Amino acid sequence: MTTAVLFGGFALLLFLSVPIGIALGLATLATIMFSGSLPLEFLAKELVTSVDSFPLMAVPFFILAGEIMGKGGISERLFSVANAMVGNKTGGFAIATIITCMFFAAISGSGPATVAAIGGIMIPAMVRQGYDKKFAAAVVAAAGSIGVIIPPSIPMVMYGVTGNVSIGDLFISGIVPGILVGLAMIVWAWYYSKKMGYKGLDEKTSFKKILKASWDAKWAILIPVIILGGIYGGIFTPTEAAVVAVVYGLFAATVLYRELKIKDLPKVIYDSALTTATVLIIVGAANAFGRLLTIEQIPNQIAGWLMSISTNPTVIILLITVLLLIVGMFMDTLAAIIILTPILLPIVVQIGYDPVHFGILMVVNLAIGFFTPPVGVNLFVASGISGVPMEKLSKAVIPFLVAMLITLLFVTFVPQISLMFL
Amino acid sequence: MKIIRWLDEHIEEVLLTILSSVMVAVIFLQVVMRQMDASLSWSEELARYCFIWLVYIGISYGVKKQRHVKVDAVLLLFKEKGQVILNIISNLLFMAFAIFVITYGYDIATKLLEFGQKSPANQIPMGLVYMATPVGMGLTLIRLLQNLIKLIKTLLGKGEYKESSEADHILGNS
Repeated sequence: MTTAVLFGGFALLLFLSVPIGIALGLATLATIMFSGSLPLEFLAKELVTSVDSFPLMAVPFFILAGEIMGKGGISERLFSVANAMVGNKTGGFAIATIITCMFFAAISGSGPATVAAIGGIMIPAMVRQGYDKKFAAAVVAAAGSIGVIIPPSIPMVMYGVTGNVSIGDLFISGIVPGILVGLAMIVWAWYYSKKMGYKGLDEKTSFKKILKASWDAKWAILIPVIILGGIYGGIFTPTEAAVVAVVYGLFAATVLYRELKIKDLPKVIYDSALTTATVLIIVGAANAFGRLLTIEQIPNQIAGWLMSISTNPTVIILLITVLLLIVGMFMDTLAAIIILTPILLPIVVQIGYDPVHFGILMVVNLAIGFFTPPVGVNLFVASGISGVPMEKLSKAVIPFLVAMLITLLFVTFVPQISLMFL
Repeated sequence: MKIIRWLDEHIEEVLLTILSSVMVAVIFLQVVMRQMDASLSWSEELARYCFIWLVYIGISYGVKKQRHVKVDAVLLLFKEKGQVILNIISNLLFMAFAIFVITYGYDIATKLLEFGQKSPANQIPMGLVYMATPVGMGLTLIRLLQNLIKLIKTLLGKGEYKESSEADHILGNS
């Protein structure tokens, strides 16, 4: 009965379009009042204590760093590098766009923002080169989802904090899966471009050209080196790395590239703080919600129910995958991670999955939701930038979806892909 | 009146900018000082408390800018008027939660102030840290009221309230 109040209340509130964090808080409040299993002060107190965490502070700093990089003229320079490498090949612009998204992912931690930052430049560039507009928009919408898989990744920070898993381990385990997703998308982009006869630029690539473009983008290329090098070199924690990324990004954007004006800085700062707060209210409420779940032994019940369907780990993980794909379509990635990690992690550990590996699976699964029709955020953003109607874009994006799903299966059933560096 | 209007427009923006800047500066200093073998004992704690305040002030700003994370897809099921009514209901529910947090949060904070409990590193009264929830939710309640008035006016055909999605914000449509 308590379970019904908790989940039923939560679902009803979501349907009434109550913000997710508030819906969690209210459902928890109602359950506490109904069952009396905890004092009401507990919920009010938990709203402070669950936010009082240093590892969690990597979230606001990576959000801020991403905003700064997005406005700092960094994506254009990365695109020039990718273009110097593959611009003259068949489908070169589409491939360069995907590579740029992968690069950019190593700098920022967010999906839809990547689409906006990169799509604004690349979609017009592809169209000028004779590409079909809906294909151009689909490339960006799909490739934008790689952002959360290649480190640094805000969803991975959130999973690490919620599930008590090393953020450094998660970051390093995301690299290969992220590259594989990118490669799978490149394969389709190349095949389609070949079929449609999308030529590359006439100029020849040369080592000299690549070197020159890389030199122009050197400040941007250095960012992942500093962030990941710093974390694995033991120089700083992920949270501190995020702060270093903010300071470095500020320096690059205002002094080196001069694309961000000091007077525009406060807006960047308070906009990021706003994004942070809308995520963190969910963390605040979810901790109390999670405590109730444990008291009511709900993860155990769900595990028991899953095991009653099948005791075969493959079947269970596939069921969880389907669940994550559906949730990813409708719910914000971070919210989904905060709510589902305490429920799903104990189950997958029981059937023998490594917590780091499952973290990667969760992020890849939810990332697919970014561009799954009809409600993926990336689709709305790409459609907004390009003017391509949603229906057409939805169709054009399907092959990319298939490419990513195939990669997901490999990542799911071959743990070494994720865990090879641990 | 001028002051009130200015506060209405900018209070959260100013506070959020200050809190964020302090957090970045303090943690950056922490990294630099450690490299120079002079680790700081107070920096992390100060940044964490700024962070708590940032979250609760930010919630108010999120209401003002209508940017809280919801299941957007539900709203697509309704026409304009339905959306407005749904928003009114969701606003009222949010208000109920805010009132709960203000009441209980204020209670906890004042009790801590009476006890005189201080933070370990900086000797900051813990009551001030816990004040973040009642103050932030108090501001939030004001913003919710403002939204509610706008919504009711729209329902009566005298105002305009537009629901905007995450994509709209990224595209800068709001």
